[in-house]
Amino acid sequence: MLNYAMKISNKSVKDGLTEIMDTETLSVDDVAAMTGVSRPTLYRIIDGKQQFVQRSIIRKIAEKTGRKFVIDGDSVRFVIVDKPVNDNLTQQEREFLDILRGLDDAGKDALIDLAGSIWRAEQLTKKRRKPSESSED
Amino acid sequence: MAGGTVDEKEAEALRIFRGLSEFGKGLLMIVGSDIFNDSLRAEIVRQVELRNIQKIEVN
Repeated sequence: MLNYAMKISNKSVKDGLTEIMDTETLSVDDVAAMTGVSRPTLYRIIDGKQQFVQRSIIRKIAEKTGRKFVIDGDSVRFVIVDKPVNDNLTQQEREFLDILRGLDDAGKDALIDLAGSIWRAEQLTKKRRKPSESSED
Repeated sequence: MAGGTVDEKEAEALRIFRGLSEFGKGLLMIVGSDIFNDSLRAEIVRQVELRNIQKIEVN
């Protein structure tokens, strides 16, 4: 499990809201309806509307980024949890994972770096080719 | 394959791997655990670039 500490300020919350939710606005009524908890109770649990909205935004960010969050004083840690292996992994992907797991950290980084180089080179080719002629392999 | 989960680095590697063409995946698999072989790595990159040039010329 990897932890990423991220200090949350009103500005970053606002930026996150703008970027992730675009024009969508959070409604206390919506959350009350979804959870079955009354508005006064919601406000009482989380010390006011502003904090409620912040928590709602943080939760939305966590959902959108596939992370869990932990409130720690004035800061929030977005926690990346280990993801279950997809049962639909192809044989090739399983073999690739086996290779990766046989390497130390430096080896893993080098293999990922090379994969990124190949990906970038291939993307460059796709951009240069006309859209109508960009059929893959 | 050992383990039922992938960690963050493995997930990132899989994400990139899935975005590669079959040609790119094949080359990467060839490198495999010999990733610190400088000449092999250089040859992989050369092959990708060569294929890119050929694709562009064809089109």
